[in-house]
Amino acid sequence: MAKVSTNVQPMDSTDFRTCPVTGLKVHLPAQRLIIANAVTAVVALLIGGIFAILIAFTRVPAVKLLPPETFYRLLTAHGTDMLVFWIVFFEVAGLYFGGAVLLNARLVKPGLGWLAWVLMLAGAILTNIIMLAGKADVMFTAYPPLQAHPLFYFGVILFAVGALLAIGLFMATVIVAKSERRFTGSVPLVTYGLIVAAIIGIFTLLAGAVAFVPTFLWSVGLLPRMDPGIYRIVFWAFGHPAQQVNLAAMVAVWYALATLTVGAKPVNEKVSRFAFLLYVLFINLGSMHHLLVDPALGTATRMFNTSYFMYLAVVGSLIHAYSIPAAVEVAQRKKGITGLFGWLTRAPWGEPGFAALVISMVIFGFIGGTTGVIQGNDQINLIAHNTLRIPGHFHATVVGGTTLAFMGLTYYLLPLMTQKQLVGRGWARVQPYIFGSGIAILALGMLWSGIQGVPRRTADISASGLAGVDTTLVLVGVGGTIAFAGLVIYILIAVSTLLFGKRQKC
Amino acid sequence: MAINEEREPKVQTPGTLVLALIFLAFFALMVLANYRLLSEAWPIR
Repeated sequence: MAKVSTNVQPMDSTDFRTCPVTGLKVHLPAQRLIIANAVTAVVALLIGGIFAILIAFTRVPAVKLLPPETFYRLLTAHGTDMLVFWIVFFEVAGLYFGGAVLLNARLVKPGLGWLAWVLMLAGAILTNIIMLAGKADVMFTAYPPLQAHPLFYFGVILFAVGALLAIGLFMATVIVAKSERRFTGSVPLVTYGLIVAAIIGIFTLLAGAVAFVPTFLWSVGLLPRMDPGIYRIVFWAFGHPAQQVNLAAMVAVWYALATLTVGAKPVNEKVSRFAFLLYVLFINLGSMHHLLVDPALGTATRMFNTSYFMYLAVVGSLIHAYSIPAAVEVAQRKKGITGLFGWLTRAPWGEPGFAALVISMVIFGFIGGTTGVIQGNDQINLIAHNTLRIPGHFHATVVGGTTLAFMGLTYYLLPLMTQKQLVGRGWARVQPYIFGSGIAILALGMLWSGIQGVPRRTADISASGLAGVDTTLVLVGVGGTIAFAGLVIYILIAVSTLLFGKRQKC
Repeated sequence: MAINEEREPKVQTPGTLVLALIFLAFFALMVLANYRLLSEAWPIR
């Protein structure tokens, strides 16, 4: 391995503050960027959440809230706001935290960070305006020959360029922190997980450019046609790894929450790091499971990539799923707690980070993980594809898993970054339970409805002749309502803390 | 690259092991249930 530079530059103390509780040296320009990205993420979450509840009540046959045209419009915006804007803005905040604050280092070029934020914000606003104006009713996937307004694709490209800049800034920060000897040994496991997320993020965004730049040129008439088959492959080289960025970031957050709440340390760091490495090597090949019914691809291609390579990435998740509870168990037993499950019964269930960690892991593993592996199987996908089983799976992974984990982290990140006491701590204690139970009910309602044949992305199924699905679709409405209540509580706590929180030293 | 631990500690996590077995049993049950659904969709003749 090449030797790193040992030129230690002196820290400008005026740019740093030291948190007396954690001992972390917080780079103030990084802190401002973390707050800006996190606040933007929460705004996107609120907008996407409002669309979500309207969509959920349209899927309940007895309500059918929205007319079909509005349903498809808001469904496109909901997917884009939640899967892209909320999560990526929060992840960028997480990258700056893991790259600068956790390493006691400086963010190397804060100006570049602000440029990235402006580009991402401009892209998000532009895309939302175009979608809500009815110029991009193309769903999240935007498959040609469906064509949106050129500014929709342009907005997505702007956002992607900003996100790529942010990732580059994070990578540069870690490298400079190492060369300035801001930390010794290897990077902490949380930062390592974020580096993995950033690596996956780079090829995700490059694939996104290959998908969206030609589509943009096609929309302005510079390309005569788009090949839908090629687009679908390239889109999922972007669309699926984008969710694996979330996966890697979520697992990094799980490790962080386990440490913050019960003082857990990984039982074997080498194994945990190896599990992260499996994501980098194999997760992108699992993208093919989105194309299991695609007539343009051969059976061998589809089965080789999904039924073999995808499982290697799943092994990574199984290692983390064992490693994190084991770390919690070891930490609890060190405190003198005995019995087979004493470490769980005497766990800090009233601590929002711990509740968010456990509920996120249970929903992700038991609902999202099992359904993902099963539906990613070629034979089963033939009956699951385009039914509500698919959104049932990914609401359990991306919402019940990633979003809930990010919410849990917020309760620690927010006081540290804003130096303000958390407002509504009592509400924060119950919020993970409310949001988690709502998402679990919503996902199970979707899965159960999908098993009965209810199609996804369909405003009105009255003509399909499906009997007995009204009850299971009501679960979508009930779960959506409970989850929305949890989401509102989260946003109120975050906004109230930011605006009205009592100053504290940290 | 050096890892942040001097030597791998010996740990005993019986509770986590039981949870892992419960998860694997649940997963196996889901796989069986799905192949039951599959056989209903396309009965083998």
